[in-house]
Amino acid sequence: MGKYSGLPDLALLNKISEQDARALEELYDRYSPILYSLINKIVPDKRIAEIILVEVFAIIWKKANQFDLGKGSVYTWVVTLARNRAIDNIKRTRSSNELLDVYDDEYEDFFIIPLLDEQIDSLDFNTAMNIKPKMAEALDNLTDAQKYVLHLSYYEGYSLDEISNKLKLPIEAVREKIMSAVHNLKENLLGS
Amino acid sequence: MADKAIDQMISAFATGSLDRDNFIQFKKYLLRGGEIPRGELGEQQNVMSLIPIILEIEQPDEKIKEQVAKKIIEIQEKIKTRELANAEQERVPLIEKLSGERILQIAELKKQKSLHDSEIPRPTAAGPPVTRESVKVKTVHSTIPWILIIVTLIILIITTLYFMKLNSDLEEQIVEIRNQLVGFQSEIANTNEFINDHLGLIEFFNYKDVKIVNLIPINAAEGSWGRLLISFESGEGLLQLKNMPGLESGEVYQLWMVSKDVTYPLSTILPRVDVKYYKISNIPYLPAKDINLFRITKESRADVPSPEGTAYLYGIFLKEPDKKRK
Repeated sequence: MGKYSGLPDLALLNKISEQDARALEELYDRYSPILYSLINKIVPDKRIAEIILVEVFAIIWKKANQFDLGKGSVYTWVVTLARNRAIDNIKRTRSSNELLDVYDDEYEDFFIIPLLDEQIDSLDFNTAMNIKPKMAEALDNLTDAQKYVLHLSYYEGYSLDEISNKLKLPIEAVREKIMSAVHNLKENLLGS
Repeated sequence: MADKAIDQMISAFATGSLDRDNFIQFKKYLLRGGEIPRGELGEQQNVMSLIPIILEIEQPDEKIKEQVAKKIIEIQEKIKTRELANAEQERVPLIEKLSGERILQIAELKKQKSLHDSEIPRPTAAGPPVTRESVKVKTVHSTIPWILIIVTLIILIITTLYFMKLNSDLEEQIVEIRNQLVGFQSEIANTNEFINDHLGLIEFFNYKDVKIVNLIPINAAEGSWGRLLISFESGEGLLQLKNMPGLESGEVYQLWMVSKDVTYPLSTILPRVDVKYYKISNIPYLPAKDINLFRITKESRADVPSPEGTAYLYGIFLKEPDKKRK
């Protein structure tokens, strides 16, 4: 057990923002399995998934100071960051070159680093892991259509327009389905 | 209606399904402090981030952790380099901030100090004074490294050429020595072959009373000849035969010694290509002066008691030089 293994996520991220490499190591030990599984779900090529995982921790190291320590939801920030980075990768492989934005610091700050709600509730790794059975149940209770639109947007990175074209549904219907899917998931989770 | 639109935007933002333009627009709206239902986006963001926990969790390869560590080291090095570059850049604006008058004043002071120092050179605790000579010395000093580099390069080139030539000479010598060695090996092989061929002859000359008899053909037209070396003390002899006619099946050559009209059989010989000297033993001891003749006949069978076949070669002891005449 490392010196930092008992520290909560928030303390770790605080130390990382002060360039404490051991804190990053602990965060890696804690989060790399779920982040790798998520990235690999989005990007099936293991080699590319590994590269993205390294990139994600490099971003955390560089940009930890952009995390608002007052918000407290380190888990959501880290997972969303990893999801955004992996989705950016597959979007770039899908797009034609002329439509691509240059990936630089500015782009990373705006499109990859998550902007969390000012009022977000605290959520850390251990709490998230404890919710796992409830989450599985909550997802199971969604309709197939809701599950599918969530899959298309969250894991495949399709926009509302793209989902609309893909499912041959009006854009308004897709917006509605996405919203209802998230609301239902939230309610299922809170209610279970 | 507007509330519903906001709700939909929040859900699309939380699920990451806004297209690029709408994402930019909504994020800027949030960054500007745009109104949204309190806590709604946060709740949806938390819910969406929980989706991956139901995935089958897979451990990344151990090497990835090392790669992260390497990446962090690279980032830190880049940051340090950037900080150094920034610090260097910050020094320039400081100088630029000084007014032109102030710069002129400083330049004038430096000039006066330099002239003063060149007139009255004196040592100071801060180091040697700056004079024209020291400027020259500095110029010379600045060229020294270049001279050293050029000299080093020349030495390196010369050394390389010298060793290349040395190497080439050594290779030639090695080839020459190898050729000599091959020659010596060949000579040794020839010598060994000669010794093996003539070992019997060499050993035979250990006897003190060796006498030689040249055997010549009875018919001078034939090319056959022989040589007999004989030692009566040891009762042994060596017979060399050349160009002897072939024998029929069962036929042999027989060497005879004739003394006082008595013919003694010495040896039966079957010529062989691989034998240079045929060893003869049990030669009866007779005074050399009593021996009239040696003869080789072709016999129809071995062990005939007296010559029956054709005589081929004959020979006698050479007369020793007359000592009195000498």
